[in-house]
Amino acid sequence: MNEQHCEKEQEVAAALASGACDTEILNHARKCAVCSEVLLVREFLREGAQLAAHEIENLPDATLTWRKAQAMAREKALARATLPIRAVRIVACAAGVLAAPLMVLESRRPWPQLTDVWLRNLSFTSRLWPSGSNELALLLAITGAILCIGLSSWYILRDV
Amino acid sequence: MPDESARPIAKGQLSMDETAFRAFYDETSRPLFAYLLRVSGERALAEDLLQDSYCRFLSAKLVPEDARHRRNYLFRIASNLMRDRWRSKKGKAEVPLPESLPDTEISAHDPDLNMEIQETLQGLKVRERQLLWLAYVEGASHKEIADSTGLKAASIRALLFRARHKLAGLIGRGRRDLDPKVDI
Repeated sequence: MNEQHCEKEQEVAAALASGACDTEILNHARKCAVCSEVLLVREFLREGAQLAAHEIENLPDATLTWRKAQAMAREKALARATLPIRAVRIVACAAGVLAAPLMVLESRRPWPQLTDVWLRNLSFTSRLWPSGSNELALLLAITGAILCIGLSSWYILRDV
Repeated sequence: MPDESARPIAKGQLSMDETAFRAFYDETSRPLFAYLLRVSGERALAEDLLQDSYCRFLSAKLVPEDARHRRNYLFRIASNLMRDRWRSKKGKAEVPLPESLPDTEISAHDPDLNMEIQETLQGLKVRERQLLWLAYVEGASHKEIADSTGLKAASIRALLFRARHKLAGLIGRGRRDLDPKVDI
């Protein structure tokens, strides 16, 4: 198919669509083969654009759409705000799953021995603190972490 | 992405207040619905897409300030949503896109004209209907059409020519069928 183009094609289409079609453009459109096709197609589609009354009467209401958008925005904001909580929950679950077999194995030993072995084997904490203070430091770290999680959750959720 | 003159929106906030939205809705809902209805050919789908388009528009992070760009942005959202629906439909049911319009869905103000429009549009592909509508009803430029449809701007001219030529042929044939004496 040989493609025919006219440099005024876009201008004619825009003028017809906006309804601001002057005589010069209209005269050109009638003479030019490409633009007369534009004119024909535009006229046909314009008829299709005029919707019947019954087609418009059931159109969703602006208020309904507004409320739906608000609900969606709230839902989005809530999902974003609770993301850290969900992430922590997932990490906690994963840690629980990983720790469960260890706990089962270690539960065969008496408790004092278990805690002792656990603390002494934490090489990272052993390097940071003297072995005597490890238990207290660990307790403080856990308390601090719980406090931080609580405070950050409150901070994120305060506006929701 | 919206156009250059876009206003950033704070997180969790809608891009307009209710009064401004009502005015924007009153101005754009009819043409947008006409576009969705004529291109998709399904009334229920067009209604769904209309609501979804406005919801997406309201929750957009950047919304153009200028009225013309804002309208184009809304049509772009609607076109993308329509494309997504077709893709998901295609993926699920493994059926071709609804290239032809269902007989019962489309109706214009004049029953005879309705038949003509319906039958003629049936001869076009979805993409062709989309291109023609954006170009000749919405008056969108080739760049705007490319943004809305996800096609390359350079290919719009050729695609539009083919779609227009095809539709002009269909219109001519339809009129000749109705009245053999009519010289087009």
